[in-house]
Amino acid sequence: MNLLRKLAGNRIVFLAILIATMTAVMSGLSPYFLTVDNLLGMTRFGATMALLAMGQALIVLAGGAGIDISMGSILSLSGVLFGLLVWKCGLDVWTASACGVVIGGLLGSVNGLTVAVWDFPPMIGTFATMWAYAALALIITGGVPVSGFPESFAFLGQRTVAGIPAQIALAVMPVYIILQFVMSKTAFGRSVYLIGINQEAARFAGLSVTRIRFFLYCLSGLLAGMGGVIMASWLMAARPDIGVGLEMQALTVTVLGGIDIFGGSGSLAGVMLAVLVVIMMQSGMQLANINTVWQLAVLGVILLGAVALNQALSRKTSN
Amino acid sequence: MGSIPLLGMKGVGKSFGGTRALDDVSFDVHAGEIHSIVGENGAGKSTLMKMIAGVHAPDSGHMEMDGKPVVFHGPADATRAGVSIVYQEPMFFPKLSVVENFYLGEELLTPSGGMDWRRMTEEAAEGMTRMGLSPDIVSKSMNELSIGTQQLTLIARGVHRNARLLLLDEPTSILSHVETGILFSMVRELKRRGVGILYISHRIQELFQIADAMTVLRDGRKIVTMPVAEATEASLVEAMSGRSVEFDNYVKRDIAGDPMLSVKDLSRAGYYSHVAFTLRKGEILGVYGLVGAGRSEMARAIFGEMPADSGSIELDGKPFAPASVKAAFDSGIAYVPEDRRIQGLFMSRAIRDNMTAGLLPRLASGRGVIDRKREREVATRTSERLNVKSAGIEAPASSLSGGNQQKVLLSRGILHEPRVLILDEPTRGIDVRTKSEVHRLIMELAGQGVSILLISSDLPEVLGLADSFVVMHEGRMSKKRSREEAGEQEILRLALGLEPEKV
Repeated sequence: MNLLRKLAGNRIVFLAILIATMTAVMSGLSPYFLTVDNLLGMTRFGATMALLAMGQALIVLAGGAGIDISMGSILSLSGVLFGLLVWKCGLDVWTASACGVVIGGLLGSVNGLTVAVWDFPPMIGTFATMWAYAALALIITGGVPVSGFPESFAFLGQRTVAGIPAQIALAVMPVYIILQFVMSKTAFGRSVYLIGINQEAARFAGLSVTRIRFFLYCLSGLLAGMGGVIMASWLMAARPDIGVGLEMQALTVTVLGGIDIFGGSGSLAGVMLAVLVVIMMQSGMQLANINTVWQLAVLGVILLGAVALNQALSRKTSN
Repeated sequence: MGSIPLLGMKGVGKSFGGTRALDDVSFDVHAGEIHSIVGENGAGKSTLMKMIAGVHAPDSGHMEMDGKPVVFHGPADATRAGVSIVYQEPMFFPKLSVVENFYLGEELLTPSGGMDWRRMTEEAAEGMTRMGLSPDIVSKSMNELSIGTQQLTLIARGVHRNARLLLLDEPTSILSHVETGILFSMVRELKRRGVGILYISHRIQELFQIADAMTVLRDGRKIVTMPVAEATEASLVEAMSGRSVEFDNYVKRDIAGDPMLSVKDLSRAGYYSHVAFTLRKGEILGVYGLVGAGRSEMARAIFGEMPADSGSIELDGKPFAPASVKAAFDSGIAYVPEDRRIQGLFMSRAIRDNMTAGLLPRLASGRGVIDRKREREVATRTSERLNVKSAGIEAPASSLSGGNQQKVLLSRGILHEPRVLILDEPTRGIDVRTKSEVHRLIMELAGQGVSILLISSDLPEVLGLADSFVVMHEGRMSKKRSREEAGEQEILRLALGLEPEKV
């Protein structure tokens, strides 16, 4: 019992237990839950969220009240710019995809400039770009989705590679593996954690706090750009409002995944498990025909409940 | 003092997990007595203080006040019984005014239930006056005051509510010479009024000035309680450490050759102006001065952390203008900051991480992947060299005592293998034995040819270690004096901004 408590006090183990429980309950409720179709649909849906959450998680980890509220808008704007590159400029769709990702990175670098270099409060700096980018996406498209992608483009959002959805196999998995490696094995990853714990001490230790944070905002933009392209492929259209609210989902998943909102502790593995928890919950409720409005409320409740239970358990073990 | 003691500790003990922090400690404090508790870091002083302040309850033994057993279920109980504590690190709300901080949580109300600011201001001003502070400061916000005045204000708050027993935890570690004087007269005034005072300090000379009795703790046990008149510095230190400690660590060395670091006319508005000095290879230059004299800011210019407005620095004969901290490290200048908690350590991380922070690029392959094995080796070796007492290099820095935390921070500076090592208050708030170890280390490094800039407001430390001295006062630096030329009196006069005595 004590051991169980101790394990459940660890966020990753806790989330794993939660996922197992949810799987059991939901497959009991609906025989359709554990089918290949549903699993594929779920993971497709989770791909964008996973990409955004990883970017958000690293920014929060690096401390300094770091947060990127503009991710959803970056996703929308880089998505429609990518769409226009194909539609208006006639660029090859895969070249344009790469451009879309780079554009995301550039949009993110503006946050890096205001927040990391000029020391704006992250909330304010990224709020500004959130409104600006969202407006820009609407203005350049006149509010109309950009479409007219070649049929081959659907590959990324709707096909599978070796049985795994393409966006997972080609985007989420490689990104996760690389970032997980960087965060746990490299000097850069260690620096992100150290900065998050004590930026003053990090400066005196010779770590370039500004440069690292700048890079992370660029990375967050890059991942949002990737999300924009994937969303466009999934829907075969680039909608200027597609990213609305996604930054908050990413933040929710980040916190649920055990990233300390004050920075310095947590892991990407936890964040990925939290993505799973959220998409399973949403998929389960879709199967149960629960209104989407309720799904958001349940998301909030899950966040509160999971964090409260987890904290209660870890407090017990530390006493 | 045959009367009933104000506070009686009767065989109290306290364990945390498996460690016995306090074990069977007994002593009495009488009204009007200044009783000091001394011991090395980790000896149990803080646990004892927190027990008396109602934060921890004893798990064996009990406490008495006025001869009657008391049990505190929390700090509020202790406050009600007349116990008041002022912690080492001032805790207050910097943006609120002095009077707001003074009455925080226990505001005086008008009959209609509003805040009675007029009465609070008057009474706070009266409290300040009684403590020898200016009554005008009550309307200022806390962050307008110097760090020392803040501390004195909190002490005034501590005794305002008819406190009968005042606990002071290292009250002078952040006070200037003048402020320490004010504190002492405050404490003596309280003594006269019959308040019992428990006083923790590492500054032994101070205790001989102010305390009536001393209780020595070691490893959670009481070693002895003795009247100050019967104690000597050596006997006290021996009781604290369990063995005698070598105080005189100075080793005479040959210091010759060209300057390693030479600073000319360095200025930064509001901090320091026209600072100039030279430092030779293997030399220890003591920079004495009070907190706020511009010492750290000057050092941070050399370290590339906060550039100077004007002036020049030469390192080994070449012009040197570090663009960043990293550039300074790479050029062979290391700085060990003064505030180990805020500027120094990553408390929740392992000792290993703390030692190698900033050194990682050198412990990593070309692609930035950390060589874990080498990192562990380096950390273990350094930990052994500096005799860091810990549960191993993977233990978090927060689990260490202050002295061992300081050693970890020093390790990081040393691991850079600097040519110039700037130490800013390297022994503040650490026990005598660790202090002596650090002093020996400094001497050893200098012997190996490292040039050391030793910034300290601990005069015996500077006098004991430095080959030559400069004094900073209000941003200005005195001429360099050699060990033979400088006397304690003269250095103090310079630090206080007084004219040197005519000989």
